[in-house]
Amino acid sequence: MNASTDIGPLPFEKWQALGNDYLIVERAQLPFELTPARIRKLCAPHFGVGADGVLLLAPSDDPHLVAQLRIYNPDGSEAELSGNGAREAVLYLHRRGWVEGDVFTIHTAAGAITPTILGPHSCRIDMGAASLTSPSFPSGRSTSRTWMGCWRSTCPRSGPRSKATSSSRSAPTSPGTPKPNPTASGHGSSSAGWGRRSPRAPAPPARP
Amino acid sequence: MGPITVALDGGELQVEVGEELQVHLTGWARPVFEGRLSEDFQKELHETE
Repeated sequence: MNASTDIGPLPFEKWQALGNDYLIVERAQLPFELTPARIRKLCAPHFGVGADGVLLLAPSDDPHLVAQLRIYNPDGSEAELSGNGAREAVLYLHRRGWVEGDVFTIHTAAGAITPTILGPHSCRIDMGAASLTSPSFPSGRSTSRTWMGCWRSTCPRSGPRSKATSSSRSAPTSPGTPKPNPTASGHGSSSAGWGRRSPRAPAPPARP
Repeated sequence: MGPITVALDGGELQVEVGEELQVHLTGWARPVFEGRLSEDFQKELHETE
């Protein structure tokens, strides 16, 4: 009997946030190592399950942290952090009973993040302090922890499309009250990229 | 600053940026599918390096 049958068929969930879809798997249920080639096959839209990436969850070695989250791009590379992916992961953790409280902390490749669960499908995440310094904007304001890789809305078919309105007190569009852009292309239609890096490290790739 | 509601193709995201550039994101996410890999596909993945 090989390792693929020792544990049985791998259970997974597919989540989406703002059209950014991820497969969520728990490391304890993986019958194999999650290599880049396997991630590419899992994420392949026609030959695999199809997703914008994989969220891998595991218990944290730190007792103060609920879990460790690793985020993989569909090409198999690892992303430091994704706002959409992080929301999916923390809501999954809460829904699956990894944590009872509504405020907790998890570890990511970009450091610890602290979400607050607002409802079954809604949460607020403290992403840390941003730094506006980047390789292409070295004179930007910098703080100690985080590098804001990019904020962007992308639409593969028709280019950037986003609109920001300030002072809105209304909650963001929720699954129960969908208000998507009718021209959205779906796959990879929107996401907020985020990266945290050391001062000398190269900029991480932005999430699509 | 904020909160600012950013309208994206897939919906809206609320962004708050504090004085020290502390950033909070508020938004939604939802499950769309629960399943298991088929034995054939899992075998294919297992045979993949």
